[in-house]
Amino acid sequence: MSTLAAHPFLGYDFFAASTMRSRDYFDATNAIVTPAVPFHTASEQRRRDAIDKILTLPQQYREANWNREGAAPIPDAAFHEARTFLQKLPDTFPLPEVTPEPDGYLGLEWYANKWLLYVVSFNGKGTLSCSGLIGPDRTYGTRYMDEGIPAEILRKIAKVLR
Amino acid sequence: MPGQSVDPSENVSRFLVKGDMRAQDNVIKPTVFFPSASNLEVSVFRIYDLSEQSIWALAIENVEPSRGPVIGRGDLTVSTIIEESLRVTPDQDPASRHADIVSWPEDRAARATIAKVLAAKASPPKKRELVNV
Repeated sequence: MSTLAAHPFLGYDFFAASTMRSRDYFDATNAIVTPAVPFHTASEQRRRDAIDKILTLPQQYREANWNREGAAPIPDAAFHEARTFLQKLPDTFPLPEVTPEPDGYLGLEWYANKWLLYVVSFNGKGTLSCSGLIGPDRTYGTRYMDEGIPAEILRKIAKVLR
Repeated sequence: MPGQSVDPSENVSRFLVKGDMRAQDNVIKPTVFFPSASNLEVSVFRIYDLSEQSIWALAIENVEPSRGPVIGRGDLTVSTIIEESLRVTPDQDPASRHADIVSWPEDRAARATIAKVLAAKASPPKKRELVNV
């Protein structure tokens, strides 16, 4: 097992440092080790724990008719997409409320009041169904997440939080 | 007794169960007015000419057996619903007082936005006082 050790040239060997990524470290033989499982700073871990906590919903929402009015079950893939979205969300944004929706989507809702709210919803098929009320304006559309969260979505959430 | 056709000036009620209201500000959640994907309908009741007690009795008889205890309701005029390009379709038997909000748009995100508007306009909800029933 590798153990974390102080490298005698750490901070001076710019060539070695340039081949390292931020979470690599040196083992006892001065070899660069990349952790198999990325570790996180304490604040990152707290954020991840908080994300896991809000995405932990009762099992009933994964079953059909959870609202006793014919609601579709929320697929596991929707939870996975929501988690990925939240992990990419800048940590300057507060975490949303998680809302199961009757058509089988999982909504992430940022809410200020009944006329100022924005929801990004996931159904496990790769699309982001976005809708909101920004004062007198209605905003809605379908977006896709590639490398990151579309800037337009971040702007809309920011308007709710302002 | 309401007629076969729904008048725009009529009120309809969407009955609320646990979890349908926000605790922090007494606002109805948009999911209350969000139609299921299977039928694109939202179930409401026509409360024309009914006393408060009769409205809650309607909920006890028709909603509680399937959805559990009714804790409140959101009222809307039919004209408010029509403004959203939706329709209110009553059951064949007007005595049932049941109707559905139909003609929702194909676009899922548009439906979600309309649900938010209806929830906002139906708020604050009328809370059920158990002593009345």
